[in-house]
Amino acid sequence: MSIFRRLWERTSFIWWLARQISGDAAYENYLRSAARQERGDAMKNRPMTAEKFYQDSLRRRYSQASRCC
Amino acid sequence: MIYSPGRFAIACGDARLRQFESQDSTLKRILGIVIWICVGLAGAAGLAAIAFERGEPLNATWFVIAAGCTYLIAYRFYSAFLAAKVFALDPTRATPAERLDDGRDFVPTNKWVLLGHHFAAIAGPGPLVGPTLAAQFGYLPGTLWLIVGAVLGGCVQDFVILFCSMRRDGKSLGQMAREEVGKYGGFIAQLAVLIIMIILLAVVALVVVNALRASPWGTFTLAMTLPIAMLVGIYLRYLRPGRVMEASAIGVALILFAVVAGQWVANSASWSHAFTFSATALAIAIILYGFAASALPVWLLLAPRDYLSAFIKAGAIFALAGGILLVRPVIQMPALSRFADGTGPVFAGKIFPFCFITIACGAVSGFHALISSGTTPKMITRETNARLVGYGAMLMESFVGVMAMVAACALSPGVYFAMNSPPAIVGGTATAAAQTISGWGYALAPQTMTDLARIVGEQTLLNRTGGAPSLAVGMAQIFSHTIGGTHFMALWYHFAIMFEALFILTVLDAGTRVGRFMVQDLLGHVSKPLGRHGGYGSVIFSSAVIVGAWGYFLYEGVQDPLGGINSLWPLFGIANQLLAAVAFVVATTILMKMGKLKWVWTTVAPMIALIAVTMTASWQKIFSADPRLGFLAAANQMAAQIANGTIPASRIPEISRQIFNQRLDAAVTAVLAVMILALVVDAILEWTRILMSAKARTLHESPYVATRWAEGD
Repeated sequence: MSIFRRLWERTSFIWWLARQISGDAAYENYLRSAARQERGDAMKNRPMTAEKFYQDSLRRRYSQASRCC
Repeated sequence: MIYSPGRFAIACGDARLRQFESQDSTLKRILGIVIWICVGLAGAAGLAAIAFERGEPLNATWFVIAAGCTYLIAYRFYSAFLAAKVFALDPTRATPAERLDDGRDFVPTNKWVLLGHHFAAIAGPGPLVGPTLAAQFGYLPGTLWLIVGAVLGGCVQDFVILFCSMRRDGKSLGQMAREEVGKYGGFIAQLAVLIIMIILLAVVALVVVNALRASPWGTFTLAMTLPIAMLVGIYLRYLRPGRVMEASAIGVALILFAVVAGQWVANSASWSHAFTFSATALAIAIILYGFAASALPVWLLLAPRDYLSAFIKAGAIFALAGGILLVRPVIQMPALSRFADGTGPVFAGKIFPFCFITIACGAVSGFHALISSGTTPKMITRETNARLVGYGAMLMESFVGVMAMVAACALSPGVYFAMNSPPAIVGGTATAAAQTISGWGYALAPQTMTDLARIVGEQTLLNRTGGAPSLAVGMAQIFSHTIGGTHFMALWYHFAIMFEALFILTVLDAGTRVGRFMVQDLLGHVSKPLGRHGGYGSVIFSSAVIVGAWGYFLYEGVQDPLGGINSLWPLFGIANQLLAAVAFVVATTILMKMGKLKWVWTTVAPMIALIAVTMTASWQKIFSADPRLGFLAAANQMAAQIANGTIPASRIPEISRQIFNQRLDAAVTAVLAVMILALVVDAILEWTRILMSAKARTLHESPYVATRWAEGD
C-alpha cells in the first residue's frame, strides 16, 4: 500500500471520527437507524427532517446532566 | 466456521505448522511480559523521581512517565480484572443500544466515538482548577492522589456505574439507588445532585469572575463569544441544520479573532474603560446571563456555545499535552510546601482531608456517575466496550488533572501564592504581597508581579484567586516556549483565559438548565402548571429560583474577604465526593446482590475512603476553632467583634451579612454530612439483610437477550 493511500485512509478515519464525536453525522446515523427499523416494522413513521431531528436531539441532550464539572 | 490459524493447522494435520505457531505464541507472550515489566519499571521510576527528588530541579517529563505508565498498567490489568472477574462482562449479551435502538436515545455507537463523547461530557473545569488550588501543598500530595485516586477510585466508579446502568436499560443513578438500595438512598441521590449543582454553578461562576475582574481583554473576548455563539446557533438552526463541523469552524475562527482583537480593546482608553468591570458587576452580569441561557431556546445560545467550547477544549488540552512534552518545564514548586500544616493562604485545612476534597474531579468525581448513568449506557454496542469507555475516559481526565498540576507547579512558588492568595492574607499591593510571601520562604520581588502583569497584558495579577489565572499563566509559559516566545505571552494568556471561561460558562448554561428541570419537577408536586417544562411562566419562575440559588452563593463568594474560594470550593468538593460515595454504595449493593461478595472490596475500599474524607472535612468546616477553616468560628469571631465595638457602625450591616453567610455555609455542610450518615445507615441495613439472607436478592437487571451481532461488529 502506498504511503499516500495510507495517509488518505488515516485522514479519512480522523475526519469520520471527528464527525461522529461532534454530532455532525448524527442525522445520517438516525436515517440509517430509521431504515433498519423500517425493515423490521414495515415503516410506521416517516423519519424526521434534518431540522426537526436537530431540535429534537438538542431538547433531549440538554434536559439531563450532559456536561460535568 | 470462523477461520483460525490453530484450526487450520489441525485440519491440515501439519505438525510443523502447529509447532511453529506454538513457538510464535510463546515468543509473543514472553515479549508481552517483558514489555509490561518495562512499563511497570518506568512507572515506578517516574513515581520514585517525583516522590523522592529533593533539592534538584525536577523535570515535568517524570510526571508524564509516572502517570502514563501507571495508567497503562491499571488499564491493562486492573480494569481487565474488574471486567472479567467482578462484573463478568458478557460479549454475547445484547446491550440496550442493540435491543432498544431508536436512532435517538438508544444508538449503537463505535467504541472510540463513544469514548470521545463520554470524555467530552465528563471533562469540565474541575480537573483544571482543583489541582491548581491543591498545588499550595506542593506538587507531591496532589499528583499522587490524582494518579492513585483515579486508578483505584474514580475510574472504578465510572466503570461500575456504567456497567450497572447498562444492565438496567440506561437507568439513572437515582433510579438505581431507589430500586437496589432503598427509597432513602434514591432520595439522597436526588437531593445531593440538586445541592451539588447549586454549589458547583456558584463556584465555577466565581472562578470566571476572579479571572475577568479588571481585565478588559479577557472580558471583551468572553463577551464576544455570546454573539458568535448566537450566529452559530442561527446557522445550525436555519441555514444548515445539524452541520456542526462547518458551523463550529466558523465560530472557532471568529473566537480566535476575538482573542486577538481583545488586545486592541485593552490598548484603547475608551474601549478598555467600557470593558473593565468590578467583581460585583461581573457577578451580576453572569447571574443575568445564566438566567437568559436557561430561559432562551436551547438552539440559540446553549447548544452552539457547547459545540464551540468542545472544539476549543479539545484543542487546548491536546496543545497543553504537546507543549508539556516539547518544553518539558522544570517544576519550581517544592514536593511539600510549608502549608501542608493547614495554614495555606489559598484555602485553609491540612492535606487530609482537604487535598482530596480540593482535587475532587481529577481523581474521583461523583458527577461522573450522572453521565455514566445518562446517555453513555444507551449507546454502548457491546458490553465489553464499557471497559474502554468507563475506565479509559476517566484515566484521560486524570491526565488532564496531572497536566494542570504541572502547569501550576512550573510557576515560581512566589508568583503562584501572590496570584492565588486573597488581599486579606498577603495584602493588596505588590510590595506588601512580596514582603509577606518572601517571609514564608518563597522569594518574590515586587517588580516580578508588575512585570508579569505587563507581559501578559493585565493591569494586575495580584490576588486573582480561583486558580484560573495562575493556570493560564502556566499554560501561557508552556505555549510561548513552543510558539512565539515572550512576545506571545499576552496572547497565549488570554487564549487560556478564554478557553477556561468559555467552557466554565458552558457548564453554567447546561447546569442551570438541568437545575431548572429539577426545580420544575419539584414544583410540579405543589402546582401542576409550575411543573410543566414548556410553560412560559413555569420556565421564568423555575429559572429565577435556580439562578437565585447559585447566584446567592456567587454573590456571597464575591463579597467574602478571603476570596470566596476558601469557603465555596471545599463545599463543592464535599458535595461532589458525597455523590461519589452514593455511587459506590449503589454499586456495592448491586455487587452483593450479584453474589460477588468476594470482590466487593473494589467498591467498598474507595467508598470508605470517600466517607472518611467527606465526614472529616465536614466536621472541620463546621466546628474547627480556626476562623479561616471553621464556618461557625468565623461567624462567632465576627459577632464578638461587633459586640466588642471593634467594627465601625458603617460596616456592621456588611459584617452581619457575612456572619449569616458563614452560618448558612455551616448549615449546608451539616445537611451534606447528615445525608452521608443517613445513606450509610440505610445501606448497612440493606447489606445486613442481604448477608443474613433475610431478604431475597432481587436484582433489577434487564433479562438476558443474546446479541444478534457477530463478534467483529
